[in-house]
Amino acid sequence: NLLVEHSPVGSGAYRSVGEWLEAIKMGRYTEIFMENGYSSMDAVAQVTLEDLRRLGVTLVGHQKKIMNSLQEMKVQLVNGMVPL
Amino acid sequence: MCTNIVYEWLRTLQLPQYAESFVDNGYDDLEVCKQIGDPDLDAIGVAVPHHRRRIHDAVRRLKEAD
Repeated sequence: NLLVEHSPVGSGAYRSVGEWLEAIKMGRYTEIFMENGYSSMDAVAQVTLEDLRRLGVTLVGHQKKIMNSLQEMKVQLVNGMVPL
Repeated sequence: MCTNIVYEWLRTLQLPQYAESFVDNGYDDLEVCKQIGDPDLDAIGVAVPHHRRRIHDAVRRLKEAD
């Protein structure tokens, strides 16, 4: 059962950037995000691939994971799945 | 449950024990696996030298298949 993707959770479900990054197992980047001004989920929602590279997220797998998660959150917001 | 392509790929390399870590680190399809180098294997936690070599060889074959 290890490979079943966990169901995506909207940004509204995360109280902090740290909590979100931990949830997608990218917790190692929490400090970097906070130190560079991406300290709220609203700020994080604007992150681009270029931003990630600049922050030092150089591993393509990690870039993919973070961008996919952001994309999922945006889709859920658009679909109104997250209570505002 | 869905069987991940990366799991299948690792299984053919006889390295299925790394599948969860590959997926957890975002290496969940063969396109992204094509870009694997030493830093990626460090993050995934593949420490055994001959396992690393086997994966590097397989990554090269993936690229050649294009």
